[in-house]
Amino acid sequence: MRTFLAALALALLPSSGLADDFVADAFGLYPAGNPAGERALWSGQTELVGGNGNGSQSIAPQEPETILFFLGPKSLVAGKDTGHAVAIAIDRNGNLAEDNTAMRFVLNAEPSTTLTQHGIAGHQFLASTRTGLFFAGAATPGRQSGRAEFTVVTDLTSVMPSLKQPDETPLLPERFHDLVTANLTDDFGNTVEDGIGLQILITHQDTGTTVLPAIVRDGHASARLLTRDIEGPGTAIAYLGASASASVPLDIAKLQPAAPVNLVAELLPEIGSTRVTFGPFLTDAGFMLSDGAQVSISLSTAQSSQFSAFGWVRDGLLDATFPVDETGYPFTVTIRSSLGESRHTIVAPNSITEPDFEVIE
Amino acid sequence: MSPAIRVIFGTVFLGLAGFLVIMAAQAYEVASERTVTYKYLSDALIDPLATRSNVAWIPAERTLAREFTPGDQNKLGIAISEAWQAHATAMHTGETFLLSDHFSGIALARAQQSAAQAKTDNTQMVVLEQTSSPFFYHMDGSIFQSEGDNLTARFAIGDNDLTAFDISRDHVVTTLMNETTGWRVFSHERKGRKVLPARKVMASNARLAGINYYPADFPWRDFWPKFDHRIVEKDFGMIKWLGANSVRFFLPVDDFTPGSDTTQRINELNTFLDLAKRAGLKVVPTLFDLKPDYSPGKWVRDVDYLDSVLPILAQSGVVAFIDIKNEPDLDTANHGKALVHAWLKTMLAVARDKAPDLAYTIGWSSADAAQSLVDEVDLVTYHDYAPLEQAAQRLADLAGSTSKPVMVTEIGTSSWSVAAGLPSSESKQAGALSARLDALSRADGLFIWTLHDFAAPDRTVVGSSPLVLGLQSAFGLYDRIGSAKPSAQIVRQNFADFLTQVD
Repeated sequence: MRTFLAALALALLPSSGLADDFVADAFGLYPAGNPAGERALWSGQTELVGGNGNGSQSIAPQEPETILFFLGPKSLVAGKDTGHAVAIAIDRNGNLAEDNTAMRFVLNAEPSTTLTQHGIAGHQFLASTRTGLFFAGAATPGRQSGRAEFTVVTDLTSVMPSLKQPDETPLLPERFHDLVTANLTDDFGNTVEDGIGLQILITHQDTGTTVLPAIVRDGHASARLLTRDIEGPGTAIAYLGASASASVPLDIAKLQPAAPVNLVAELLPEIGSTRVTFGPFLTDAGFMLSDGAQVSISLSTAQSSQFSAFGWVRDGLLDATFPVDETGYPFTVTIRSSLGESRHTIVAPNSITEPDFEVIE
Repeated sequence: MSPAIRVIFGTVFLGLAGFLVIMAAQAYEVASERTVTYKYLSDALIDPLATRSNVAWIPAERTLAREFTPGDQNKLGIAISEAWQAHATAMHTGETFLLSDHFSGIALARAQQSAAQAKTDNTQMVVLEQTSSPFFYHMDGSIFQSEGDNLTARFAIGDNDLTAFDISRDHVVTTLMNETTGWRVFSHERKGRKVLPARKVMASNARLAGINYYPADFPWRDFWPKFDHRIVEKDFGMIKWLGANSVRFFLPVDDFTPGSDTTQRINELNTFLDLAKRAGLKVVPTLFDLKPDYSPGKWVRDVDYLDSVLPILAQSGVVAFIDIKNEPDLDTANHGKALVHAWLKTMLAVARDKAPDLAYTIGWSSADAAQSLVDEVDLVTYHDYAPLEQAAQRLADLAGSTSKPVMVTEIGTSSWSVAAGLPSSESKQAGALSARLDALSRADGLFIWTLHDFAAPDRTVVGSSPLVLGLQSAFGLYDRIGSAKPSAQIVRQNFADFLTQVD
């Protein structure tokens, strides 16, 4: 009887303050007696913690149900870059797949198989020599991943640009001209993608430079040049990154006057002066010199007095007033502008220039 | 007026004055209470200073597709550390919304489910520290997987007591995704488990007669910021004169937890230990002093604290034993007994893992409280300020319940006097101390509170009550001008007998 009571006491009395059984898993503890539901299906090691328990259990994952596929970098240079395709295999309960699960990768039309470790399989590959948009994925027996895209782009470092000689020589002034490269391809024959930028650098005879941004479209790059105030011989070079084309001669014709500049002299007797109106400054391109075009004028009177003035064209005309009264007539005027230099003689006031003029250059 | 009437009138007057002082003190204390309002819940739940990595990285054993740089170690270490702190906090508070900042995919669902279930079941898991090795790293830096060991504590609470407790090293595989706002734990699986080795060091049988120590002018929070080795050296001389062979001192969490500038504190601790060694004194460091709370989300910082102080203490050669916490039983009212006990068991286990050659105890505030967790300590220690009459019986009952050494690490009496020897005096102090030392003479160690009277006791520690401040200012064996009180001679005589006593 005493033994029975002692055994009963041992069974009933807790041996320590820790009496309940709990299951320890990766995310904590839960009571062993309660239905754990899906938590009991989380793979990994669990064990009983608490008063009576010290058993452990290892829960294995089931067959993969979901394949997560990741590929990067998303843009690979043809024949040069290495891409990394990765698949994570997960079972229906969210557990990583068993080690050594075979994973077949499909990309570059060259399937290959690797084995998972801790649920992950990876495959590194060299980018194709052919540019374009590609699709890839991974699969285990019975399950496949979603599709991932990646692009292979031209190897710009192997592209040698070549600038075409313009059809027109010299280039007429005050006009738009297109400078165009030859077809741009890399070492593997892939055409450079639309949108790639180049620079065309023109060096002029006065050592000034013109920089033109060019954009690739349909395999070649073009840039539009306006031939204004850059007359004379020059050279053009196209740059794609660190690669430069051969230089191409580029002559730009000088702007010419369409007709001799008219002069109208008006005597202002109240102030003993003469106002001279010059223009229109008409170019052979069919338009007048732009507002602000600089003109310098030298005037020599009948008494050999010398006057000079600087002005700017406005609406194709220039007005200048000189201290010349009727005794200064006739006088000679020399006009210098971007259209060249011409000399005119004004015989009498309020007269339009006689055709008696001399264009110096 | 007759002398008798004068005495009665004086006594009534003093009593009334004392009553008014007490009432005023209580009113002042209520008025001094502070509340803290947080604007963001995440600030209230998680210590904003805790964003440090507690992952120790070891080199990968296989070639990775992408280099694992020191910058990656820091970023991924912080991501993993923050994730488990958020998980521990979510389990403790039931607030799972923070988890989506640190977990995604499979792990987010599991973290949310386990945190919600933990709140219902009153269970908790805390990842204390991690050792990890990179296992997989995607070439474009988007996926990372590590394999390693997590030092993890798990416990369950029922009826305000621990119903389960476990601390072990989990072998885990953790997969993270680099998402638009940073790394998140995508998957986490536990592959194995190792129990911590049970290492217990039997405490030395040598008797200890010691003093609880603060300098006269810099007690409590001021001690380490205003550390002066010359003052410590002089005070150690006084302790030696008293016949003591040991000194108990305190290491506040704020001064020794990495994250603040602890370099100078560590240097000062080394100096303190060196001075003790030169004076021939053993030391009893009391850890985690002035720890504000026991929130599981902050336990990882407590492990940082142990990493900061234990190596120095372990190699000093002067540590008699470690007192893991001062009077933790007084924290159970605010934080719950089970949580406090879980924390104590965890920190003892972690401390032993880091410094297995040191002996450990818990500095309970009473003999009753010292009946708890006896199996966890190498010696039992408590403080005895309870009525003198039962002091010897309390010691005998406790010593009879265990084969481990039993020491009383705080005894003391204030000599504070308001008027006419009330409430105490230096002679009363000497008498009370002498009686208690006699009553506890069979203990394996005795420590006096404290060496000096304090001009300014720390109000943040003892409160603002003028009564308490007055009492706390006068527990010393030496007064404010450094003169020995009568109790100093009592202690000197008693310690000499105590250390030569043969049972």
